[in-house]
Amino acid sequence: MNTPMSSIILVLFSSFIGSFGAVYLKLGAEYMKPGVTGILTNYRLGFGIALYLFSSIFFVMGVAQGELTILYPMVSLGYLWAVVWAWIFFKEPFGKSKILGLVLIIVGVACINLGNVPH
Amino acid sequence: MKPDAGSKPLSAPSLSETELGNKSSSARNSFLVVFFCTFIGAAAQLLIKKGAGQLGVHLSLTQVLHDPMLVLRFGIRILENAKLFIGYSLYGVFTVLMAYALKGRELSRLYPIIALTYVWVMGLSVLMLHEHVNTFRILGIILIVAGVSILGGSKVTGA
Repeated sequence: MNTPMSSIILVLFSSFIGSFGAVYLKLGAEYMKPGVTGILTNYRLGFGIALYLFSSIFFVMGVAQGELTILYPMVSLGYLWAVVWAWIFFKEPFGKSKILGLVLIIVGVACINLGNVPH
Repeated sequence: MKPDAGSKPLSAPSLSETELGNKSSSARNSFLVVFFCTFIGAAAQLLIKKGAGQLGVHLSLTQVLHDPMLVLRFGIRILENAKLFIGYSLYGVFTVLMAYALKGRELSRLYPIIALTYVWVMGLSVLMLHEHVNTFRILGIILIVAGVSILGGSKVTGA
């Protein structure tokens, strides 16, 4: 079984949408009021969770075909978006270790794609 | 796990003496919970993959962008599938357990554990889905696990 490009694109799209979910979860955590009602009335948190659920639809579409050994590691590219959004929206600086981590992830994902060959 | 307080500054300087005393055991507990979580996460992935295959619907992003209603219809199909439903529920358990384990603790040291999920998913895919791995796939996983560990371990200032 070979993994089609359409599946890879869907999974990458899913992780891109999901990364905005993380942004809203972080925003929600920053505006958190104490207690259970604080969680339930936190619309940023709710929107973050909704974005995660929405993004997961594309993930399921993607893994409907193809191999999980190829598709699941694609999710790790979400860290790339997370670092970029953290930098843009939360002014989180990134140093050498973050860049090294991202480079390893990108090379790793490229490697996985090289391994997407019929056997 | 040896507590080596010298290598990192305590995240909360206001910790009382008793909290400091409990620090190493609670750190071990969150380590174990997170380790356990990686298996739940991997099992959820496998169920989601199996359930997704059962739906027998093959869509591409281009098709979906042309007809956004497809997303809604596909979303409903997801809820109707038992394996997907259980997979999603496991993910819910995974999230709550993770939030509990990581509450108020330094996340960075646990990233190498969290990244193990990639290894379990590959292992389970070979065992249960009869997928094949090759040198590139294994090398890719090693690089990703190393990358996530380094990325997670990097200091976040002002967080």
